Amino acid sequence: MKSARIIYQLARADFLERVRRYSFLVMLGLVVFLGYQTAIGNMSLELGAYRGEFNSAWVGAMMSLIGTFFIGWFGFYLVKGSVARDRETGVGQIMATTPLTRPLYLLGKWLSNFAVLMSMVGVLALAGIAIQLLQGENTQIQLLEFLDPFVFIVMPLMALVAALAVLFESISFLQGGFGNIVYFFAFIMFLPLFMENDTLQKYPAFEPMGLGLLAGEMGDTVRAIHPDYDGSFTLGGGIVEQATTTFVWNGIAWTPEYLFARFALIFFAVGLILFAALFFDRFDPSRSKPRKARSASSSEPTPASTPQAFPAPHLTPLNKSANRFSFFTVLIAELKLLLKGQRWWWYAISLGIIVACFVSPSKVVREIALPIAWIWPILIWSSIGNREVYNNVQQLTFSSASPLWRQVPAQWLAGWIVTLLVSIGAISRFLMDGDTVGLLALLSGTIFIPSLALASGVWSGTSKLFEILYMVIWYLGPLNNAPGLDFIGSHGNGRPEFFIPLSIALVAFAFFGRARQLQQ
Amino acid sequence: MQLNIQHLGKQYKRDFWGLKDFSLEIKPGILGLLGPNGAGKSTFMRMLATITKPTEGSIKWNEVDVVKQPDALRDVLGYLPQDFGVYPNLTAVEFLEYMAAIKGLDAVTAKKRIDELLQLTNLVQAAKRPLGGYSGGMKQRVGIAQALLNDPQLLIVDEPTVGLDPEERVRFRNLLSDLSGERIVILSTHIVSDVEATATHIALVNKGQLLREAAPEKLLQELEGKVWEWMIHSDDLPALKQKHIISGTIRRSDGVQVRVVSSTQPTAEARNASPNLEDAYLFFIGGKQ
Repeated sequence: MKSARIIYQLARADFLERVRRYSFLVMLGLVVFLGYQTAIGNMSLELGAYRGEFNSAWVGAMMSLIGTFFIGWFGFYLVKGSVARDRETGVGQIMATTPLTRPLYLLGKWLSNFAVLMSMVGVLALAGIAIQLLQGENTQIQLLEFLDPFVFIVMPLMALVAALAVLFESISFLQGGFGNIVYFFAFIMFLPLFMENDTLQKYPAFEPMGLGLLAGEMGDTVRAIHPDYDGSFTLGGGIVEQATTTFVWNGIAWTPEYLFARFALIFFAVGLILFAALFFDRFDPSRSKPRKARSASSSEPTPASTPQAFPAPHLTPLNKSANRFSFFTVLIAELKLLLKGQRWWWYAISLGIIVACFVSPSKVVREIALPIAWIWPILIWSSIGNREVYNNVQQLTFSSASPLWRQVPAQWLAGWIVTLLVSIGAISRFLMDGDTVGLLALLSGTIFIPSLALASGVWSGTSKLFEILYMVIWYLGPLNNAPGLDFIGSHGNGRPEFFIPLSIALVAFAFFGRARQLQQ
Repeated sequence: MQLNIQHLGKQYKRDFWGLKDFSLEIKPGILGLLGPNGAGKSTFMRMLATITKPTEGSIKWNEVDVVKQPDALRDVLGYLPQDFGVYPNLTAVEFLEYMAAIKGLDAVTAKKRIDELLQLTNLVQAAKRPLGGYSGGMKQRVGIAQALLNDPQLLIVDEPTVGLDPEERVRFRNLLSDLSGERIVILSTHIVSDVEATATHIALVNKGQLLREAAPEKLLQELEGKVWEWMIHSDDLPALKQKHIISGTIRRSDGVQVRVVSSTQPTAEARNASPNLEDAYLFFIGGKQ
């Protein structure tokens, strides 16, 4: 009973701390936007040429799928960080001095993550009711049929995502940007694996996303009415063909086996938390890797310098000519800040990628080598624009002369130089092959990346926004040829006419954001 | 060299002013800001350091409006915030080189200056180690060093001795006294002895308002005849605390020697004592809490 109270109070405090932040409103706003996109038909669920009538069961299932996909994927990034916050604020060290055990602390964080995710799901559910009423195909709200998929499909997945966020925060090498990248690609890779796994096809209720379960149940209904149904199942935006025929689907008949499978996922999530407790350092700086420490107090202390004698303080006065601003010096300092802290193997792999770009044919460079070269330094780019806030150095740097015009251009330029450096192999290859179109696309990309990083960093104050945005654009554009997003020119000529003006707008946006910060 | 502050105010919420109608003229020397937590000292300093924009009023540095032209001050400003961070992967030297670059110091001058500052802050031995491994006190010394990089004409230091050991604290006080001749130093602290040892002027701040501004001797003069000492039985202490501002107690074999700040003689046994700044602080601020 006492433990339950501790978990509740931990989760409550953490949840309240989050929901009272401006960023929580932004999150809810994004969910509302998602609901709006569905309402206006930009996002829909279709089974080949068929789609369900907009009754409660269909809308509930459709919104649940949207929730599992989007909140399951990006919600991870939104909730990850609550342990880090306790670490940064120092609250963690206070907690560490209490009898609070690791599992209890992490269970509290898990519950809070879960509550945040479910509040977003709740908003999506409300949007679903509005969509059903707006579509007007069947305006009778069957609350149980509508809520079933939220409770049985989305809720267990959110429990799992909440647990994964805690697990990632407990394992030192997954705490930062690397963990964000791992989750992004794990989500992409596991999705088809879940869909094609033989065991999960046999027991679809165990598949965390619930895609197989819904696809199977809906498919059976369509097949019974339209035997020509080809088995396709798509949840998507503009690229989805418009379904022409509707059918009535009344939801899943939730058997005890199904329910057991779904709730087993929640127990699995709790198991993950207990597993995470094995790795959690309980805010003991001696257990974290000194090299990775981001805050001054989080690594092994350097032995204090031994005070000698007691020299009389003396400083040579500076003459006025000493104050000669050099942009080049600031640029070098910014470059040093970007690259400092990388291990030798990071440089070795970068060199390998550059050489691979240089020796590969132009086509391979465009489609494979350059996309790799342009995901490798993501954690370097993602520190642009937010480094001051992240390290709490802003009071020092913002009170220096002309912080806007001296520091921001140097930060952007340093980011651009890093991008050019990792692209040097590809640039040489394009020049040698006379591939001017590829070169132009590449150059527009080199401008776009630091611009996006700078704007995201300045406005969000964290590296996370850039990491997520960039990975999505990189994955959809260069890798999957989504219309308009191929900023590299992997599948064509790129879009310099779009990405160069966009980059300029992003830089201007970053300047505006920084000016705003300076005037607070 | 002059810093003129007129009717300065900062409103955080509709009904909450962090600072209100704050006017002060500051000339070369050390101005010690004293006040309880939440008095508005840090808000005031952040506005002087051009980080926070005032809601109303003006700050003029040598007749130039700093609110409109912050860069007029930034070139000659050294600022040590109360709460600041460092880049953990950089060494002290690299961090100071970075700060020197954005402050506009040329490389040769910066190098020489950094060497001197590292000596001065006793960080030479740790200078090439990443800042991520520094203790709180060492980090604070890096903060002090960066504030002095550009030989500032206006040096603003907010709780500068937090985390410093007694030896470093004395060293820093001496440094401040040494520096203060031709520049303005504004020092905010809770440690009255730091102000006592260094300040040429003292500003007492409470609830966002300037209560008093005077030289320490003047404040002490005002307190002459208002500080009392006498012996009481320890059981009488709680009742005395209810009635008077007690600035000190010493337990002795025959009871407790109390030190009270009061305009009138609290009791017939009470004898006048020589006032100190702590008494002054309690008299001007303690009584108004």
